[in-house]
Amino acid sequence: MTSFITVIGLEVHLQLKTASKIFCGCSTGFGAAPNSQVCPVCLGLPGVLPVLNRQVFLSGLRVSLALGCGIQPRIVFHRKNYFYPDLPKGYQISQYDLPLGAHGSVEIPSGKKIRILRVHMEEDAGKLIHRPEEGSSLVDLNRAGVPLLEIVSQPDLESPEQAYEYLKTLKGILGYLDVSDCDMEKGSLRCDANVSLKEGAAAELGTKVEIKNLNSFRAVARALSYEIQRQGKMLQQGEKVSQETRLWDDLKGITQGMRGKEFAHDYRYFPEPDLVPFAVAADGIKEARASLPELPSQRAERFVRQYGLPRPDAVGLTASRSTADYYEAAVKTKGPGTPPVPGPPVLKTLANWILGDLAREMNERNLDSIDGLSFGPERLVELVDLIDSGKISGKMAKEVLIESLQSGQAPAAVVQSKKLSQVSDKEAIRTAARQVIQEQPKAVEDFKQGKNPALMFMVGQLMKKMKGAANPGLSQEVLKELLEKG
Amino acid sequence: MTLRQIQESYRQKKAAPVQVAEDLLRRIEQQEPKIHAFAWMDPQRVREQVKELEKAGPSAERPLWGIPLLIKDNICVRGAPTTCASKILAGFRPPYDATVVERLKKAGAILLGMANMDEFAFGSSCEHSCYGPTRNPWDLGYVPGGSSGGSAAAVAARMAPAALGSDTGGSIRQPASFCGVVGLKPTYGRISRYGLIAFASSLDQIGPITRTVEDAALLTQVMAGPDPRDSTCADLAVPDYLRALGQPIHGLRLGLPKEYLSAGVDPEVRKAIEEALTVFRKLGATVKEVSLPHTEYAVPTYYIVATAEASSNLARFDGVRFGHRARPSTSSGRAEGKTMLEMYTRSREEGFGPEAKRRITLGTFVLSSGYYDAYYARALKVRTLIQQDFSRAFEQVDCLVTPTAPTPAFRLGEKMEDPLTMYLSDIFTISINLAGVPALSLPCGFTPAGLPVGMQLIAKPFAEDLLFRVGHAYQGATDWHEREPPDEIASSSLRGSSQ
Repeated sequence: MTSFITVIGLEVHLQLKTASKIFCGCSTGFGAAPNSQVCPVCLGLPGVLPVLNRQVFLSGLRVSLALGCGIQPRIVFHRKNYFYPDLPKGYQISQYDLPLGAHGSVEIPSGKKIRILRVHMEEDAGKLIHRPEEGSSLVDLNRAGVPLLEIVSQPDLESPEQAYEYLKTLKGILGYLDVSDCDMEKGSLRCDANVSLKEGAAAELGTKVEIKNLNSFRAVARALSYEIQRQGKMLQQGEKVSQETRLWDDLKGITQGMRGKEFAHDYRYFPEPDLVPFAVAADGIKEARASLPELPSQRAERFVRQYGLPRPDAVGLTASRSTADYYEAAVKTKGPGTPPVPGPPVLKTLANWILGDLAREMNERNLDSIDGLSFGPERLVELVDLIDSGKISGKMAKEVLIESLQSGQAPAAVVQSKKLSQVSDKEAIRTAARQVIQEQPKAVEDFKQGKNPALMFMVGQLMKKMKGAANPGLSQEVLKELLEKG
Repeated sequence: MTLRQIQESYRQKKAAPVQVAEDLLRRIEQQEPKIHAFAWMDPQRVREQVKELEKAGPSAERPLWGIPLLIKDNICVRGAPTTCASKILAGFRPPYDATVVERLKKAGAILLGMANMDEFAFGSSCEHSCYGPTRNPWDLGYVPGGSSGGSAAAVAARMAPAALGSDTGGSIRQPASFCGVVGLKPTYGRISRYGLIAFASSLDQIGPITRTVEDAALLTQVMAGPDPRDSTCADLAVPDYLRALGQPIHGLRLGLPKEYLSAGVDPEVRKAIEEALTVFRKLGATVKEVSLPHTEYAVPTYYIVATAEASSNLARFDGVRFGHRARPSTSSGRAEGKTMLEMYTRSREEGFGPEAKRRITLGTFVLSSGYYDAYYARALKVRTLIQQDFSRAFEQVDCLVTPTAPTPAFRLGEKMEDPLTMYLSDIFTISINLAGVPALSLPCGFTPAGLPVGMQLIAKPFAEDLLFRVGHAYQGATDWHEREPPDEIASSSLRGSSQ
């Protein structure tokens, strides 16, 4: 068996959430009635001219800088000529050999740097709605002229997992810049993947296949895995991979070659004569750079420094701006306070909740942002306070969280209405503690020889007996008391 | 009447817009069957506009109050068929006004209708029109020039006191010269192109066609100036052109580019230009020979740049959203790709005329991968050299004087089968578009056969005021612009056949 090296490059198309389209004043709002957000310019009527929306350039500049790209000193647009009914002018206004940004990089959590080849501005096309039963297609041009940034990576990705990580990281950065909704399902972030296999690190690149119709980050990873296997098998059998565009079928979990012959496109790029090239002032770049927010990598550094979090926690929390904001708001609400006993310091506790239970709940609900949980940082603090004050146990808190998410009630209210308060009755705990001491002679012996973990073990046993309802602090206290006496 | 004369008669209450308009409608009824200068007109709509204007009354905000104008068929007028004289735009009525149309309407002008032209402004004879050719009012056997042939012929035949044209390589100036009227190609960026159906975006300009230089200044004054809808329109204030008109030209330095009086120039044309130079000298200007060394490359450069841009600009005429769409053939399958491709190819096959197809093909070729560097990229370099020729010339002189075209009007059909010869009739006007400078064509004589000869004045960018000043001074000293073609228009071709 020959083993192959996978080479993946991703092309991301990002819809910018500017109020108006890139070359006219029409709204970019999503979901409006077909052809209701159009004007002569984005309809490509005879005689109209494009005028660049400056906001698009500024957003593109911010993204380019955040990705560490160099900025083109002179902005030039080109026409990309091809015919398709969703392309009203018969050409797309795009950028060609002089992209706005070039040669940047993104560091993914594994520490690998993925180089960015280019970032350029262009206009989106409309949409076709096919009516196979009537043998016709309808054209909706609301999307025509919505501003896009195309972000092209170098073929530095070596696995579907890395591709997934790269997309997550990229989306995180873009989220911080607040330039796009980055919603793959709504099409505000789209991704095409190029993948090829080669026989060794030094070997020449293999024939690349482009995969389209990828509707989620997961689909990107799945499609790449499928395609790597497919190409691997072909190469093993001595077949040739042909250069083509394949569509991912998410239901069947396979890629398929596009039906019919593909046009060998010659886009006949040439400089767009309707837009005057303009120089990017050095001051403008400086200003844009200064206005960039703290980016995920910088924020993770700070979280390690400021909150003493382990690096993986800091990276996890800061990957998305909303999660990081949530964490910091919770920390602020919680205040310095007394650390709960037993357990990690409060800063770590909050991180654990966010990266553990809340992240899981987000996943289950397929939520992009922690804000979608409707469980604000003050509620998390309320929950943690309930534990700290001994009203509920950590285990019970998990139930309270789920109940709170379902009912929308605040944690304290959940505890009250469900009578979930944990047992702080010293006598009940003492009874259980005596049983534990009887049942665990070995642990008792260990404790007496000064092995502290034995005490924690017995606390655990006690909690188990009381089905998690015992106040852990009190349980520890009572056990210690009994052991030291007896 | 000239625009100034109409304004004067309104001011003195000798006439009202309704009389001027009705006189014109009558005149059009008489002359149009012979000339065929209109692509579209609707007397009812003219009368409605007149009624509204009379109700509003004259005012300082409406400097063109009651002035009837003809619009070239490639400048969008809301609700009026605007078709570029092409079948592919059959039935297209723009939902918006071009910036110039908006400004003219606001200034109180009356829009008479749409003027015939070469399809998509591709041509120099006004013969490439889906409506059939326009004829030269001075001799019906001759072409009026093109592509703004309908505009120039209508003004010459007194069917419109003034008209708008568009000029990509001479399309205002050459027909103005062939028809004995005045035409201005403004500096690229002087007048908004918004609403001008693009032929070659980096060369196109809208401009006036009038009987006098003064009228051209009057219209330019209203149309020029920045437009937020056109990024290529210069953000520059517009000088007071009428004030410039009165200034003498004593001491001005005129340049005669030696390349423009070479062998190919008709002796009658050469003679008229030489006489014009004598007039200028009498007015106190000096004349010296200058050189524009890259002139010989202008035509090939132009046909690369212009067709390349045109091939892309005309892509939107695909039958999807407006204009002509071929009906699906019954034999075609239902497979989407097949019917879609068929819709494109057949709509365009049926909709475009032969010259449009020729230019789209040429332009597509020069932009194709593998040919781009040899043609388009090189043409852009030569274009820069041509621009530098003009910059250098304007270091020595204030204004250049050349023939507008190497010959007077040619016969109908004479060059239809020979596109290359047709292209050469723009040899003196094309460089001006490539350089982006302004140029004015004005009548400077007649051939013994009675065909007008035009002279071209060229100035540095945004020096339209200088062109008006020189042109107005010339018209003050000559009367070529006052000559009118006879109402009973002769046709030498008919004469020819009877002999």
